[in-house]
Amino acid sequence: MADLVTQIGPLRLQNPVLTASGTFGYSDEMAPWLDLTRLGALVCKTVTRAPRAGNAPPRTCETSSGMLNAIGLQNVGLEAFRRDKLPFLRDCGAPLIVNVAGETVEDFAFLCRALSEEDGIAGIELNISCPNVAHGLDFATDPHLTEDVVAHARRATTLPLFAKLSPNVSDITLIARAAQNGGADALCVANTFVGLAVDVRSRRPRLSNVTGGLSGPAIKPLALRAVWKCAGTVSIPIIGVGGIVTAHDALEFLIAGATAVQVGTATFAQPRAVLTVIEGIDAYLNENGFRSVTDVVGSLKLD
Amino acid sequence: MNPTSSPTQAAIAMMARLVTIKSVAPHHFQLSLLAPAMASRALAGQFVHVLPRAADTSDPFLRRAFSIMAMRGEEIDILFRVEGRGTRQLSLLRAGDNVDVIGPLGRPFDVSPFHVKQPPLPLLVGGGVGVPPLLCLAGALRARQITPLALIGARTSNEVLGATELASMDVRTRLATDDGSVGHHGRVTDLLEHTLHELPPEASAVVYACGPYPMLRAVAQIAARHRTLCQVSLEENMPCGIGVCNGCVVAMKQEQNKDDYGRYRRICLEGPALWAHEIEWGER
Repeated sequence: MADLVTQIGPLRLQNPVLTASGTFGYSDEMAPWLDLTRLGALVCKTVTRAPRAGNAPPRTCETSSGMLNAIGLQNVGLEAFRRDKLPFLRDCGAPLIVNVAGETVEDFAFLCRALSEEDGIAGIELNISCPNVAHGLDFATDPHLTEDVVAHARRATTLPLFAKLSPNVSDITLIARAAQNGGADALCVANTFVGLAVDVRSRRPRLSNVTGGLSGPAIKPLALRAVWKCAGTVSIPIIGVGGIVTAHDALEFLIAGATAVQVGTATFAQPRAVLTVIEGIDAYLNENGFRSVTDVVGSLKLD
Repeated sequence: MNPTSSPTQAAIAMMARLVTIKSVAPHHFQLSLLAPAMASRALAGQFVHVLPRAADTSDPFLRRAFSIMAMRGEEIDILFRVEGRGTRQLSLLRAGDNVDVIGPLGRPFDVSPFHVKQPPLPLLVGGGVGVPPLLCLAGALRARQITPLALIGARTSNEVLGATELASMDVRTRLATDDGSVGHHGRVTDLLEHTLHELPPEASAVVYACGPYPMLRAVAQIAARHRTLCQVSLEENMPCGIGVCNGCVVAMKQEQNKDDYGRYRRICLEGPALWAHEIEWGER
């Protein structure tokens, strides 16, 4: 058995595999499908200050080796999250990372402060990059806004803080550096890529929101390149996410410089995908003589 | 309705052996899967989520949802029309192949209106490839000595689904085709309007419908006009099938919004069978 223990800033996890926000619900729906205590950590669906109904259907459509989604951050809001969702989440046996989103810097700070008062939260992930809501992309497409929102969140909580970046930028390293300067403990690289699909019969977009975020195996090389660039730029840990289905996918991200990974869309096709990834990483490390997963992180050979 | 309830507790994931695959109409295929644990626990109106590709491939990536047409001993039957890449792949399977299936999923048809001494008449209204879950429901009702009346619509005579199965269950069936090649020349909703109109004043009916969205919306309007309970089985792009992606939602009427959970319900978890009068019907 290789050592899978992973340190993400101040957060120590039993393995480097997390769930990606928005693909695992609030975990109560997933509990029948897999042993949640085996997760590196659980990142739950985005929580906003007020409840959000989300976008009109159709919200998703399949594309080549992936899918577009424009859910629109449908969620129950902070109050119902604390009342209805948190009791199960904090006792589910996995370290809990709460993903939060806001329209203003104050929203993010408010959410961070409120969640810091709760027991059983291991960390907060700042969703500054959701492509499907008004203003959602603004923060992570601008270095100044990114640094500002992360800094405000940083002052609002002592919990480990991840900043989830957008790949829909010309130079993600500028945003990565800004998030580090703002005080993030780690970066989540990245979110979905904005895309469009058209129904040629009706000549209408396939999503009611017109555009949506592309996820799944189709985006893996794009996300991997973003992780590799960021890992070469910042000193804080990177959590790689984008199209990971198998352990080999995850290992590509670790080798390219990610300290940990998130499994997202794969869960839709296989509810137990995240466990398959954990088991496969362990097998790879054993077969290749690595004692610890940290030995492969950033081990990409370029000569 | 409790939006947080989780009927997927009873669902399982498994590799099911394909026992038979046959073309039952142009572009329509019926598959029988050996899935004892699913066959024994499935209820009419539930669905299975089928992976249309081999495990080590990535395209098409997502599962496809199919209503269960029948549970027969250790087997479950599904029936679909080839519409895209996923159903095309599934239509190419051969008997003996293993199929990655999750199920049974979703909320079944609500048959509580029949828990009375003088049960109402079940009217099963199916359009096109929406017929299969109604066949399952017909079987469940017949097992309780209740005889429904089936109204089946299709584009043309060789696309009429379920007529043989309904006949073998001694279920009276009226047909409608768009081209008039068999049965009523027109829409299945004409048959529903006529049937409800002809119903004796002392009799009552409950409508169960599955088919294209415009048909279901029309069925809901007709049932409402006749003050008749109506349940519909809805369809939507459904990435996960187990309630975590929030993709396959339907808007509910304002009075259904009693809490922070908003106007949308997940078809995979709170549906696919829903009471028509609770749905906010729109343009689709």
